Amino acid sequence: MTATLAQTEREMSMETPEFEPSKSGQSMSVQKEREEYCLGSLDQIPPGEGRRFRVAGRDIAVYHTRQGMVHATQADCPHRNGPLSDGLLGGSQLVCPLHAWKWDLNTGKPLFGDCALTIYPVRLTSQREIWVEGIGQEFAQQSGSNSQD
Amino acid sequence: MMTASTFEASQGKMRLVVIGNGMAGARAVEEILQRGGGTRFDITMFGDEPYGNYNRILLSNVLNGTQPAHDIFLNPLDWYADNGITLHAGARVTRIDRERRQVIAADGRAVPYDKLLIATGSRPFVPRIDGLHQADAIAARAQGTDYRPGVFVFRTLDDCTRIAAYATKCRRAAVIGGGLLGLEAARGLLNYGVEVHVIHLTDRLMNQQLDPSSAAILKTRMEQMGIHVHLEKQTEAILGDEQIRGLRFKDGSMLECEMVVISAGIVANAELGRECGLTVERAIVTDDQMRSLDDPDIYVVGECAQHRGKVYGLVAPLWEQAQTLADHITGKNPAAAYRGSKLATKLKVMGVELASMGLTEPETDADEVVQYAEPRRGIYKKLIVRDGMLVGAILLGDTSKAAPLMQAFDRGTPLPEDRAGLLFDLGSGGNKQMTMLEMPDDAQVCNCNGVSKGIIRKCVMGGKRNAKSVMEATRAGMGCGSCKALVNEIVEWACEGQQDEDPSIHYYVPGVPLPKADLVRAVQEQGLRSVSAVFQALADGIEDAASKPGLASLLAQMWGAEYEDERDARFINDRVHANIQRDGTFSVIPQIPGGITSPDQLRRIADVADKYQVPMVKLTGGQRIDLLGIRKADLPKVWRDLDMPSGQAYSKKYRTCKSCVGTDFCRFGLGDSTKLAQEIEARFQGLESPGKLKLATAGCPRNCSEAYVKDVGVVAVEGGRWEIYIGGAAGAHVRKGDLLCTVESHDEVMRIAGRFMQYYRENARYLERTYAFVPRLGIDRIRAIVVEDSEGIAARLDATLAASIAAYVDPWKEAITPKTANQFAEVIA
Repeated sequence: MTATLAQTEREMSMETPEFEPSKSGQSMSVQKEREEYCLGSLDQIPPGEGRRFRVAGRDIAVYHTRQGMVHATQADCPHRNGPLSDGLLGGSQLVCPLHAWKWDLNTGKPLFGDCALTIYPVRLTSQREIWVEGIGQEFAQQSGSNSQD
Repeated sequence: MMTASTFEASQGKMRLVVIGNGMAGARAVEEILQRGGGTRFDITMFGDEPYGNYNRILLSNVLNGTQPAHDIFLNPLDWYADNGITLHAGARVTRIDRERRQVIAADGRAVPYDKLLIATGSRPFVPRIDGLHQADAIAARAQGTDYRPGVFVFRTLDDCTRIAAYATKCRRAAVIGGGLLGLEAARGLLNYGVEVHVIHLTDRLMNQQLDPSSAAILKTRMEQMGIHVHLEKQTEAILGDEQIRGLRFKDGSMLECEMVVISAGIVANAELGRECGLTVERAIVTDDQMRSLDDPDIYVVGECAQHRGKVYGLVAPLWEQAQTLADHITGKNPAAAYRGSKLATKLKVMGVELASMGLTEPETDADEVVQYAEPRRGIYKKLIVRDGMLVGAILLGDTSKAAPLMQAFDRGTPLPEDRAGLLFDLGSGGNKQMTMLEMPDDAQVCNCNGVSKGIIRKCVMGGKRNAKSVMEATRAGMGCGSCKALVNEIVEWACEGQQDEDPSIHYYVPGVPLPKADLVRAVQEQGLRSVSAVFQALADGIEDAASKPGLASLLAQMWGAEYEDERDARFINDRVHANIQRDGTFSVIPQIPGGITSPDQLRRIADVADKYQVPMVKLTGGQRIDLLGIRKADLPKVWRDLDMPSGQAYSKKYRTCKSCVGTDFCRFGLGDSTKLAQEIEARFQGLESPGKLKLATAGCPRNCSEAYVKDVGVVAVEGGRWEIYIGGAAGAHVRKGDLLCTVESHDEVMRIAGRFMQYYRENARYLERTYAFVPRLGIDRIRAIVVEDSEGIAARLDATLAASIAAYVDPWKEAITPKTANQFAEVIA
């Protein structure tokens, strides 16, 4: 989907009631006040794997752990642009498919390697729909600037 | 918000601010923490670079590609948080306000201090050269450097990355400066396929550390490596408008080049000190406690410090300074004093061994010179002895005696009368136990981190009984790594053979604490048929991402058709049946058994390459055709259009069997190697295994298909017989396979080779290739089991293998029926 099309949909969805589930699992709708986007059903991601989504003209990686958790991060690794959604997932650990850098998806902090991942707040509805916020803003959990003031 | 108790706690603490997060700053803080400084100080660190702290000594390894960047980080960002250190990475301090006792950062933030540590290090010295800078200041700022494109200094990790990226686009590079770092940079650049020229101001390379004879030998050595050396050249201008075209020298001569790396020495970053009124000569002047002369609350350490007239640009003095400083600032030893360091250098250029210490030439008539030269082999050794003590040495081409000489130099011990013994290992050399015993406790083993034999011995006595834990505890071997072998030997000696092995090295995978045999038994007894079931039953339910593919491989081998295949346990290659490339696209290699193809197949491959605009079509080492740069979403379509089975060139499985031309056409062929290769491939294709299995058949001992260096290689010999070799390799590790046996027919080849592969499948560790497995067990033992059936398991091995073979399904059939949701989706929109 192109950015323009996403834009159109966003405008259209302004007219739909706030919490109506999106009509098709594939389409994206948005509740503008909270800048929260619906990615459709969790069934699009097999348990223990990740998939790349395009939302609001931007790519993100979304993961579905075997424990039933959902996480969302930037789509490409900060080291050499490895496709993170193709990585290996173990609990909330993610291993990049290119050079095996490793992160904790709860915090975005590196477990192996030296760069943190941008993570996006994400939630599941009772209908197993994925909603993600913060796209377009930076929710960087850069562990480097943990000043204590 | 601060709770009452932490507020009180921090009230009692002094505020220590550290400017500089390089090796000096970080090491000083480590030393302070080791002396209990964490309870005494609230520590804040400022670093220019947006990283944690890394080992700058190893930058040349990053440039020459022998180490990835993440390897050289010393302290990960977590370390700062764990030790309660506030790190401002990427924040530059612009001013020290001694009146108000605070530092001011570029963003205007002011941070107060009680004690201040300046560890701002140095920056490259850049000589005056015309055409060095960018005319366009705005473009310059945007690129984060004020040099014009193609001009680099070699100092930081970012410099390294930029140089490497630019070099791949260049034909010829010039390095200005033939000192230690310049030569390391030059050698690193060779790896990027550029022609490298070193430009040096004086009449010899490394003039600080070498005399004329050794410098001449080093020059020859460099030229043999392909580095062009230009001596006595002063660069006057960089030529070219948009692009760099070359260099012009003061003598009027010119050199064409497209990039320039400047490595002409260093200048201390002493401006902060000068501006706040500290005494600065070549660097900030300190006393023996590493305090500034003018302010007892300001300490200075590293390359920005000048102590007794000397500024050190090497790492060892910096460690000694940091120790003195930490002893003093924490009050652990108020009398601690640094009295200067003796300098010893090793050149870290691949293919050149060089150590230099102290003087390069005698200074008085009484100085004794011991010299040996063998220019043709590039060997030169020179000692300068004064009053029976070593005051200088150069060792080039053979540094086997460097360690004892460096100790004698450093400690000023009298040298033995037998000078030849100082330069060479003569006679038997004695046994290792004796040398270990003779080695004094204060002999320095790790020169990077200043760890002595005594410290290592005490660490072992203290209960660290393997090399890994000793290295972690003492940091020995954690610098440039060149002393690791010696550390291992000392630990071995100190343990008197009673070493604790790190138990995890025996685990089949790191995330499940069981060796392979125990793991297999538990899996069988408890009927664990999926990877998630194994984590649940044997690892407290904790999944370890990196352990999943190994478990998946093992379970698939053990359970065959009963295996509960969870796709998330597979590495991406095995989820989409193609090999992931650096840009996230994939490579597709169809099966071409024995390397024999047909015009029809080639036409189909060509059509696919056209239709999907495949960026690269390449012949592989396994005698197949690789289509590179295929998008994930196109994979099923590509397979369908190819209409060929998967070549499995992406997994830890049976890969392929190469062959030579064999008997059909070759006038030397003794056996039908092509037919045998095709039979092998048809039977073993896609066989799951702990490591890759690469095979070959050769029609005669001329070995055109390289069968001697394969996991399994089969070679025809006179009389219609076949020799079976196992455990060969010709990758990063090269090994000729061991002869397992000689058999009479194709059928016997299939039976014995298959049985060996099954035995390997059952007994090898995950990712242990046959070249490690075969020598680990020994060829005699394997022959007894596989050929002579000494354990009576041959029939079972054959049957298990047959079941695995029967369960094989070509994975490219998933083009028709994907196994998971969005299996081949690149992006879901």
